[in-house]
Amino acid sequence: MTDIVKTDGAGHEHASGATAPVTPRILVFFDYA
Amino acid sequence: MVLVPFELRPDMPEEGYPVSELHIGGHSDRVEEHLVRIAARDGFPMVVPGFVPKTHLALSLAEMGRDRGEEAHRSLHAAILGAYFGEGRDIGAREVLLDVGSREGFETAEIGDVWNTDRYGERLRQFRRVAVRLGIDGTPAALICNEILIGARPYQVLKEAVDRCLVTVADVEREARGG
Repeated sequence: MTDIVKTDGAGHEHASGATAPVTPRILVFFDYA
Repeated sequence: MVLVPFELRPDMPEEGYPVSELHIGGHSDRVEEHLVRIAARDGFPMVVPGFVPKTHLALSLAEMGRDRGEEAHRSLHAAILGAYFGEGRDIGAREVLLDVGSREGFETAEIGDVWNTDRYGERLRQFRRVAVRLGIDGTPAALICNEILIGARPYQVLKEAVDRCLVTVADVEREARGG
């Protein structure tokens, strides 16, 4: 399992607690407004 | 790269509301002025609309593009973003989105059917659940290999994360080939 590291808007890293069974590539999360 | 829709305000009214009623942290005129300035510098004239539309219809329209293939999806996605941030049009309004969709080659009758049946509603909810499970509660955000980057980050920060990701993927592929 790969641990997912979360970096907030200030650039601080946190353990997200989430894991992925494979190393994901790139996902971009968006909304239009 | 996968574009993952994350409907920020699924419960907002159909007509949207003015920005002045949007009580979110971090909203500031200075940030907006900065965004407009750097967008103009990079050749993308940008407006900051004074209203926030409900985005469910726009996100559903974009999913029609996804089902037509990557090129159609990227083009439609850019057209929707351009209508809002480039022209200041109300992308919560059906007539605006029908215009954008038809210019991108989609039949208005099919777009209407997608909306009337909420054909992509469950898909949008599933995408949202993926984000929430990863600890994402706002947009924009990016998952780059094992790093989640929250907020609009400087280009260099994103580039460095992608560079690290590419190295990681290369390492994995080399290992898979036996070293």
